[in-house]
Amino acid sequence: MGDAAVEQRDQWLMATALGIGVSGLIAGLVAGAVLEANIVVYVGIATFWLGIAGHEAIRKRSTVTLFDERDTRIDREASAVAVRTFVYLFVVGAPPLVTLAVTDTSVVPQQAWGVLSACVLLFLVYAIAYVVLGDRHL
Amino acid sequence: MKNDLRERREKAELSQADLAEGVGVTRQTINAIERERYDPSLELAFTLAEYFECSIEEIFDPDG
Repeated sequence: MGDAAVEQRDQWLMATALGIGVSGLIAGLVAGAVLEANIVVYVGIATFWLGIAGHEAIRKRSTVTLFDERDTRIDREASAVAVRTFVYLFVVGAPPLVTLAVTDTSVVPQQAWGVLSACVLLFLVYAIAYVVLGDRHL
Repeated sequence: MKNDLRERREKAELSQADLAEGVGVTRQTINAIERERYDPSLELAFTLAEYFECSIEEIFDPDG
């Protein structure tokens, strides 16, 4: 089998493993809710993790290069866009939420605080990773 | 960045997969470089130049 065929096969296997994992999770959650059986949810979650593990195992064991500098650059740019989106969400969302809460104008839903906290947490992880990695590359 | 990677590869009768394997990147990266959609790192540019036994400037034209 040529390298191009191996690459195509391995990429298909990785996508399939991921697809099975995600489908298993969704199916488990839906079936668990419908059947009211927690065991189905647990099986769904186990399928999800197996799918992720399979994806990583195929990537690591592949005989061809599946992730190189171009993928790294795409990954970096996508991460930057994601972080920037969350920062904008925080910058735009935080002041009105705090204002509403402080002035008792409206009761801010708990979910809104959850989203805000997730934004802060994500940015903190990013900032710590940035400092640690920056230090390593000095 | 303008380059003549495709011409060099075809002259050497190599597929994109062959060249990708030879320089340790994915076939998509070679394809992206040939289509001038991706500028390789300095390290990869050196590897490509070494592979074709020429200088980087002979493959890549920064003014292109």
